[in-house]
Order: sequence, then structure tokens, then C-alpha cells
Amino acid sequence: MADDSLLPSLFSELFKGRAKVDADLDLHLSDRAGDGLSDKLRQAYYWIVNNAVIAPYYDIQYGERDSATFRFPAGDEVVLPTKASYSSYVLLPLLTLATRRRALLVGGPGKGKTMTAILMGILAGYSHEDVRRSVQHGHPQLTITDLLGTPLPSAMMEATELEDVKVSWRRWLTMRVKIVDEYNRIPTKTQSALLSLMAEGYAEMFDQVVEASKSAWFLTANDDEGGGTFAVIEALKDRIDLTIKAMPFNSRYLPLLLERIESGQDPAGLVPTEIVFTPQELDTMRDEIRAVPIPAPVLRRLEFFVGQTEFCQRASIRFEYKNKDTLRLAGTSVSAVCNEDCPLDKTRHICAQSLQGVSVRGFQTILDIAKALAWFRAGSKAEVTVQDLRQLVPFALHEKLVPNAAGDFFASDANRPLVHDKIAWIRRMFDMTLGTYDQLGRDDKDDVARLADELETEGLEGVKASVIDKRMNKVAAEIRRLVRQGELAPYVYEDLVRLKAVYMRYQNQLNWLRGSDG
Amino acid sequence: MAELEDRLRAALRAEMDRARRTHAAWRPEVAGYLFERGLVPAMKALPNEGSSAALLEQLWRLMVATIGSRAFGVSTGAWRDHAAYPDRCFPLLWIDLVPAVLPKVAAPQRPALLAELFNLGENLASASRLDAARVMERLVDEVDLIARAGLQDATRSVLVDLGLMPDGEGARCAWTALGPTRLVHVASFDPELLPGALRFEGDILEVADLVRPVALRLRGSGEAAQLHERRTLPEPRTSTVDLPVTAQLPGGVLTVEADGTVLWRADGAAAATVGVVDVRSVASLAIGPRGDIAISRRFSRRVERTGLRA
Repeated sequence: MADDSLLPSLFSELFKGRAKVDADLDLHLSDRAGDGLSDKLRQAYYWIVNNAVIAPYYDIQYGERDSATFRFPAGDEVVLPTKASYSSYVLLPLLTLATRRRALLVGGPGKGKTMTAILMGILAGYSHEDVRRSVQHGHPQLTITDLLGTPLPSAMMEATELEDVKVSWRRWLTMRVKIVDEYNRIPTKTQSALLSLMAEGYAEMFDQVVEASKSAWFLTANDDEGGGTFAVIEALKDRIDLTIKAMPFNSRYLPLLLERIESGQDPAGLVPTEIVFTPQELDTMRDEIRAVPIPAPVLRRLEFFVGQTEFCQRASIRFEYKNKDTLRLAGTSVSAVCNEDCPLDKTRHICAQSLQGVSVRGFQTILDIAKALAWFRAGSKAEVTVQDLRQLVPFALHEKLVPNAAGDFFASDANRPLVHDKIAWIRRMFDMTLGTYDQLGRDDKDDVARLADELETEGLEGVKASVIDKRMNKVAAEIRRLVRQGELAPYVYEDLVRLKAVYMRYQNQLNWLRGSDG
Repeated sequence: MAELEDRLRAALRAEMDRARRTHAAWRPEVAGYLFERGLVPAMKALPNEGSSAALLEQLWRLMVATIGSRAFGVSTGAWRDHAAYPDRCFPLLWIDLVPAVLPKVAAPQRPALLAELFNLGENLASASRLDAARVMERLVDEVDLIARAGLQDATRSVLVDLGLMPDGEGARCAWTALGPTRLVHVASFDPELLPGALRFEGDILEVADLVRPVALRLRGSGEAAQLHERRTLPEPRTSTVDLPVTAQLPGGVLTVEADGTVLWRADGAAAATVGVVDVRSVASLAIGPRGDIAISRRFSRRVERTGLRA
């Protein structure tokens, strides 16, 4: 048994570790080797919910399938999931920090939005004071120089060229966490400067440029629906990756609040050093998150969902322009054409539920934050699951999708409340499409993917014209089959666009081979 | 004695403030609990002399380290008596074992014993929290053996008794009705490797280290096993297994049940028992694409393989 079981040397290893005794019988304890950055981020989450932000709303739920559900006669229900679940109000800011994205914290005054953002700054390694001073407070008189910096008066007096003017840039511009409080109170012109900073990553003034470092952004707003002093420009809204709703205070936690008042301690001043990230750790965390795989079946479900939001059968008579952007460019709304003239069942197809589709930026956000969520939960063993997407998609599309409130879907009593609860609405849409996906058996049979894969994996290099001909026939046969089904459903449209693209790649190659290019 | 107690209480207060600013998992109520139920009884059990004071300060530092580490979930007494609660190892160590065992060993041996007990707790709990608690619970009953024969011999006896460590012929694996058992001696590829999580990728078996972030990828088994690749992982791959483990194979489904029964369900046919494997102290179990079953065990250097093929 000497070498095939517990070796004596190995057994003795059990008694060795970070506690050691020297010759003077003094005991020394070294630091425990790290459990990885995902564990550190989880520790940060639990520290915040236990010590800083009272967030008893576990709305990012895992293990719902086996959950206990309690229903009121009127239909309201309480679900007790079986796996670790999280509060979006704490978890999503952490994922924003980890992925260096842009989050909007919305909710009424006094709900701790700024406090949550400040905590993220402290976790990024700044002192409480530094973060507090770096917060940009939105107000109607906020100018571009207030936001970005001021040209030095002495340099201005002496300058003969524009580039001679030295600008004293505000320090917050280069911080790893940027906080803009009440961004919807910022005047429109200053919002444009903010947009450049968020979108392009630099600011410009007097021909001088300052690079904003890689950073996570936290914007706050008391009201996301236009209740601020100024309307938020659309492009700025589109740059927001996640919308995080501040949750109301639960009155059962009043004694805890009292305890905090009596102790006179601000949780932001008590963040343990153990959960503060160094700049290198933030970089490594970003890399680890990027490396999290998304299995093909999970990606296909996401494709199936987002692809359907953009489609509008009535937007154009031309096949390629059957999308909501066509309506938007024409100044028309989906609600104007989504009527009985459209043959699709509006309660079944999600195209009828939203006024617009999902942009490429929206796709990227979903993929990136889903990876972060999976990594937060499982560290190096992570891979994105459908449940990760299901939990995350509503927060990522909150600013991107507006419900078609006049549509048939929202006419029923059961669905009407979803008009003003975007999180629940988007999650319901996601669930509906997953149901359709399963009904169609897409995991087992996806001829469109198969035909597209044939082109992508085998390519066109050295493929003979006769083979291309055969492949084109197969693609045409699949298009014929889909058309014969009779209904141009949103997912059928997505398939047809893909098939036509495959067909045209073959066609162009064939033309080239036969010398009749163009 | 009162002076020593005052000194320890002052150290406790100072530590409370420092630890709260350092450890995310710091809980003052647990610190107070361990102080009153562990440190004070240890102080009362030790002779009132200078070396005891130094030892108690060292003991307190170790206690604080375990509270600050969320990995071991040290809690108050509310959970200590619940056998199913996984994080009982350190409460049992600090409250039940240390105050009982320290007075029984000679003063010069006490610091080393404390360090060994602390390291043992961390190493066991890193491998399996429930097993760590079981071992510590048994060591509490072996205080005299620890004092007489030393901690290592007492621990060996407990590990064998609990079936966590093979002991001579009794440790041979019970593989029946399957192919022959083949042992992969991972030490020949990496003398440091302690096998943990396993997984098959085609014919290649990946064996991750239980502690270090490395994995060996092996082709073949038994004497013929060859090192295909050595990989560095971002962090150690956790080796936990929830039985049953099921795998879809060509022609049917192979399942290793919680009791070790191996079931084969050919396509469209009823399940048939095709063998039994010994799943005691299993760290990880994986089924390969051709019906190979691989098992790593806690505190063992080898990986065992058998399967449907002869």
C-alpha cells in the first residue's frame, strides 16, 4: 500500500501548512493562499449585503425549477428557489465593476444608489474620501468645464496657439470607477460631452485630449422615464449597459437601521481590506471573465430570442427591410402597423411586444455580463448557462426595449401589469421564446445552422463548382421548406436572412469560378 | 490568573477592531463565542505561568484566522452539535479539543501541537468539510491517545477507522463484474500531485490537483498510462462528486449509483446491474466515452480505473 494509497510522506503533509513554530517556540502564521478572484468578488457581495446595503430582495434566482411556490388566491406568488440566489441591486453593480461596463442605478431618493456606487469605488482601491470627492453631481448649471476641467488662466494669457493652452483635467476622468450622480439633471450640451467620454473613452478641450482610463461607470437617476430636469439624449441612454433598480427599504429591517444610526458608523468607511481589488486584480478579473465559455446550445437560445425582437412583418414590403428600424427612420411606430393587417398572432410572437429591437451593443453587453455572472457563481469552472442569460437579459435590455403598450399582448388582464414592470416583461418574453425554441426542437434539429456551418467550417477554398451547386440546391430546398410552412414568423425571418446570405456567398463564388463575376 | 484574563480580553478588543477592517467574513459574535468557550477554558486548564500566556495569545491568533476565513464557516455553538452541518471542524477544535488536550502535553510541545492541529484542520476542511468535522469529532475522543502517541498516530487511527484512509488489505477496492482494476500512479508524473477532480476528454483522463492549480492529462491506464500534457489552471479545480453519476455512451446509459452499483441501460432496454465499485471516500468520479470509470479518493495518490471493457 506504500505507494498506491496515502503515502507516509503525504500523510505527514496533513500537519504542515501556514502555521509554523520556530526554534524559540514562537508560532508564525502566514497568509492564506487566495481562493481566486471570483471568490473575492463573492466575498465582496456577501460583505455588502451583510454590512452595507440592506437588500433582502433575492430577484436573481437559481433553482426555480425545484422551488417551493406559494400562491395567493389572486395569483400573486412567493417562490423559494433551491440554489444560491442574489439581489440584483448589489450583484449587478459588482459585475459592472468586474467588466468595466456602464450601469444606471435608478430609484427614488434615499434608496442608497450613490452609496452603492461609492462602495464600488472603494472596492476598486480608492479611499472613501477620494471616491466621494470624485462623484460628479448632475445639476442644471453643470458646464462642460465643470465636468472635464478648466484651462489654466496663466496659460491662456500667454498662449498664441490653441495647443499652448494647458487644461487642468478633473481627476475623476482617470479613475477606474466613475460616478455621475443624477445624470438626468445635466444640461443637454454637457450630456454630449459625457457621451463622448463614455463612448469614445477620451475628452477633448482646446485641442488637448485626456484619455479616460479603463473604468466602470455608475450613473444614478431618480427617475428613468423623463422625470429629470433634462431629457436624456438617446445615444447616452444607449451607452448604458445595465439598468439596476434600487429596491425599497423593507420595514422589518428598521432595528438594523437604528443600530447603524446609534453606532454612528458609515459602512463605506468600514470596507475590509480583504475585499479591495488592486488594479492588477481588476485587469486579471476582466481577462478571466472574457475567457468564460458560452456553450453553443446556450448561444443559440440567445440568438433565437434577440433575433425576434427586431423583426416587423409590416415594416416593409421588401424582405430585407422588415425590421423596426425601417419604421423608426420613417418616423412611424410599431403600434401604427402592428394591427389586424399583420397575419401573425400578436400574443404568440414577441415581435409585437416591443417598439424596437436589440442593437449590436446590446448583444455584446448580454454576452459579456452573462460571462461575468457565470464566473461570479463558479469561478474557473464557469460556463454560461441559459439560467444566467434568463436572469441577466432583463437588466441588459431595460433601456433598450420599450413595450408596445397598445399591442394585443398587453391587452389581457394577466399581461397588462408587465407594461410598467420591464424586468418581468422582458423575462416573460425570454421564457416565451425558450418555449418556442424547445417546441421546435432546435437543439436536435437545426438545418439552418447545419447549412451555415457547412459554409463556415469548410469554406470555399478549392471547392468545385459542382459541389457549390449542390450546396446551393440544399439551401434553396431549405428556403422552400420554410416558405411552404406558410407563416413568416420572426424566427423564420431570421433563418431566411441567414440562408439567403449563405446562398449569396455561394452564388458569388460560383460567378467568380465561372468567370462571370458581377 | 485574573491579570492574564484581563490581558486576553484587552487583546480581544484590539483584535476585534483590526479584524473587522481586514476580514470580509468577520463576525464579532463568533469571536466572542470562541473567546469565552475556547480561549478562557484553555486558560483555566493551563498552569498559570509565562509560557501559558504566550501560548494563549498564539491560540487566539489562530482562532481569529479561522473566523476571518469564510472558507471554513466557523460559527457559534448553534451549529456545533449538528452532525450534518459541514463547518464544525474548527469549533470542535477550538472548543472541545484544544482546552482538553493542551494541558495533557508537555509545555514545550504545546506550540507545535497547536500549529499541527490548525494545519490539519485547514488541510482536511479544504478536502472535505464534512469529513474534517468527522475527524475532529473523533479526535476529541482520542485526547489521551494524542498525548501518549502524538497527533499523527492518533489521526492515522481515526482516518483508517472512518474509512478515509486505506489500511492494508481492507483497502482493496471492490470492483466486480467490470473490467480489471487498473491503477494510475500519478506520483510517477508529478510527485506532488494529490488527485482531485477527474474528467474525461475522449480517451484522455484529466486529473486535477486537489490543492494546486495544475492538472495532468493522461492517455491510457495502469502501467501503460502516459503523460499527454500538463496544464496550469487558473485555480484548483474543486473535487466534489454528487452520486449518482450518469453518462450517455454509444448504445446506452451508464450510471454509478450512490451505493456504488453500476447500472447499464441499453437503448430501449431495462436497467441491468453490471458491477459494483467501492465509492468510499471518493473525491471525484468520472465516466469516459467508452464506459471507463475513474475514481480518485481523498488522501490517495493513485487514480483507479475500471470499466465495461475487459
